[in-house]
Amino acid sequence: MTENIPNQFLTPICGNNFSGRTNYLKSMIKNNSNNVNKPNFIYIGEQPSNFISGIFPTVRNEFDLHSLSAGKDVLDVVKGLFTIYGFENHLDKNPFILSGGEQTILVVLCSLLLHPDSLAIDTTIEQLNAEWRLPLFEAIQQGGFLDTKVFLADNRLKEYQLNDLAMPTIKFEQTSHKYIFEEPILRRHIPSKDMSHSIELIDLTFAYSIGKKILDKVNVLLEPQNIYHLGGKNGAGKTTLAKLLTGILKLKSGKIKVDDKAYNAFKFPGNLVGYSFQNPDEQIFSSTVENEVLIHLKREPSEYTERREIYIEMFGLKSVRNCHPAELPFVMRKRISLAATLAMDRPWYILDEPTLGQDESFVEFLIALLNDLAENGKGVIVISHSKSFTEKLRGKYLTLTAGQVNNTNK
Amino acid sequence: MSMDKNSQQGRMLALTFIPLAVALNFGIGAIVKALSLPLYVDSIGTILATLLLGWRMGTIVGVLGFVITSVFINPFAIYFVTTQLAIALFVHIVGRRGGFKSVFKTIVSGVVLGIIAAIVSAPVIILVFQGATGNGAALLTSFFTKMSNQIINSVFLSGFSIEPIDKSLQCLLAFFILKGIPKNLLENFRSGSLKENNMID
Amino acid sequence: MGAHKLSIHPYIRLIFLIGSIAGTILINKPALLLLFYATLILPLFVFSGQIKKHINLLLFGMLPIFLSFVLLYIIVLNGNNGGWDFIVLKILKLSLFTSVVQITLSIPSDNLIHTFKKWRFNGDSLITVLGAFTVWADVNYRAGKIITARFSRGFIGKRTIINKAKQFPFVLVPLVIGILRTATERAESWEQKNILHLLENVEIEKSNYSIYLNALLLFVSICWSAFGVIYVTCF
Repeated sequence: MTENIPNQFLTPICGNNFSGRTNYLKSMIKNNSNNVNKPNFIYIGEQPSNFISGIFPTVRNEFDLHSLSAGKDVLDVVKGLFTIYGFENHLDKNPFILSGGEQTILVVLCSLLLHPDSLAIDTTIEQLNAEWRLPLFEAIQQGGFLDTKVFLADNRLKEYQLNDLAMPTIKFEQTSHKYIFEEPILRRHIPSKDMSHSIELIDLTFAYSIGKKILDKVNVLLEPQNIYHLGGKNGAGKTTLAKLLTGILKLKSGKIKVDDKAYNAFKFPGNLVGYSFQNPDEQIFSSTVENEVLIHLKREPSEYTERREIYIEMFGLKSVRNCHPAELPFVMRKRISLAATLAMDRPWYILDEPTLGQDESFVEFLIALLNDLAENGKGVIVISHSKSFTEKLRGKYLTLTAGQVNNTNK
Repeated sequence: MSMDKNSQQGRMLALTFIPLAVALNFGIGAIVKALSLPLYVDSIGTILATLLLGWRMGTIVGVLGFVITSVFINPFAIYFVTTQLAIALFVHIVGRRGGFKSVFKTIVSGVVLGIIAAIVSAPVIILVFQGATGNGAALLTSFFTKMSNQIINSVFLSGFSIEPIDKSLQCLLAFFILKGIPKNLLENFRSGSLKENNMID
Repeated sequence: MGAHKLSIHPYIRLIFLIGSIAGTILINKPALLLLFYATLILPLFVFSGQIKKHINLLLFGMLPIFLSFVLLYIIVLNGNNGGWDFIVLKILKLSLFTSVVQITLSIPSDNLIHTFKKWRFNGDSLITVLGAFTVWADVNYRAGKIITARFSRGFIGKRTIINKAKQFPFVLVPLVIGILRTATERAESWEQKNILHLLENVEIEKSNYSIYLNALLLFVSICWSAFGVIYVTCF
């Protein structure tokens, strides 16, 4: 680990989980800010909504707030990016209702407008898809934000094609952390009672409000023992489809058939599908890790224990099993929420960004686990922006465009 | 230098927390109102803010919360801001003496808080609403008035019937919430009464 | 939240508030109160696109109160502490107070910062009050997602009100944990950005305050309160 801060526009910071990247970034916060107009250091963490100012109810005002001492050049660059990201449509919206990717762009651009000496982006960029990453990186690397050195700690650096420029990176290797986390590792095959059910969607239509159809006569057959990658732009309806299958939303029209029989998912929420959210904090309800991993539906107590032990061991949670999930770092909370979902033993799983914040070794483990589950009868639907993950986890591609699902096999 | 930094950090934390606690008051109150339950449950944010940050911050949360509630949901909330001040003061005083240490103590604190809330709200109900608030309390007031032919006493009596239940429920919820939060998240909130209630070290 | 087409200047808002309340307290003739309501208050709600909100107030706020009045004063007390005249007067006054407060505090998003700055909110108090008007959307949104998560984990079986109410405490814990985390991270971010300095100097587009509307409100508020004084001294 080098002490000298490399002088260039964009410094990638790589390393595995718990190797000390976040601590390093946070240690750069100096105590005194000499110049009231120019911040020393701005840090952006995993949850972009926490870094929105929270003072103004519109995106427009949020930009105005941060443009105070922005020079004309920087403002022009930001305005250009605005147009690329389609932010003109969002100017009067409340920043908190934007999607994760949109909030990420908002927070990063606002921070750059303040021309801090240093800007640290800690895994937030993982929420952006490739189309959105490129213009941002280009603008930074071409010196659009001259005054600022950007430090990017991220687990998907290899996908970002930053290696084109010869940039020294900062690499972290030591693993030193308050808690001891074991490496995740695939264990023996988990016995399951509920599997191999096909799902057929017939003319599925859904709209949140009259006239705005999100899903329009979707017809698709989902077969078990398969992995599906669900893609589509922001707002295309991926989350809506997931909620319909999980039984959280009620169908407006159309049918869901399981094994060729009509199935009312709304009547039995959480029964057919185990749904893992993008943000684990919305899904954690227990006060200990081991209770969180416990399964929730009717099972024999001995079955509970067996499944729980297997998953705790697999996900490397043994030494923290009695800790409160909320006191652990984001990376672990995400793993706990994923473990809890998969431990539920549902025939189908829908996983929203399961590799968010996770390093390569966990990703490899997850790929092996999902393949194992699929081979043994489960069906898995994955939503992910990580090209490397979706390519390594071989599966069928379903893309949502204009309310329709298209099967594409890349 | 470090003391300055700590107090600056503490101040910033209070400033970011208050609007969020206001949203709690407002949001929970809205849900309960939508369910048409004969309860208020509109001060959990106030109670939490007082236990975390002290009575001044608790009062700000309470008053702001009721102002925002008036704008968006229940326009009559604004008349009861004095009750919020009373809640913050009481929770702070009782909190400092370990009134939220256990379930039993919390219930007792809640019942006493309810009585105090009833006493502080009664003048508002009498002067502004003449006793007719249009909810379950008003029905009770009519019932007691039938017995005693006295409106003022009936308002107090109906308050004493409802408020202790409502406030002890809210105090219990606040207790339950704080117990469910890992201590490391509460560490920065030192100006309230968490220590006296064994919620942080 | 409705289309806010009316921009009232912050000072006029305050004068409107004080003048309307003063007049309403002093004047005891229902006919006059009703006139004030019909000619000023009701049109204000209509033109600012908030008539739906106002009807909600009348139906779900004032109507139950009216019924409680009838129950208490007519049925239980047989009109001994005040009859129909008394009820009508009190209801009118209460409606007027509440409507006036609603109008005063219904500030369009663009005018929020300008209004509070003119009302002498600065620094800490300004940031707190602006925050209160903004973050509730975030907390609402999160609560919705947490409830969704309860469904997805199969905690809620049949969708009965009792089952939903039982979820309450279990939704609150992750919600408050999220709030504490947000507050902590946001506080650090605010410090890094020197947010108070930014807030003090931010340039918000000047609002266009309609001169006619504001002059009218000023005039009517002053007249109404003056009339109230005259009413009390002469009648």
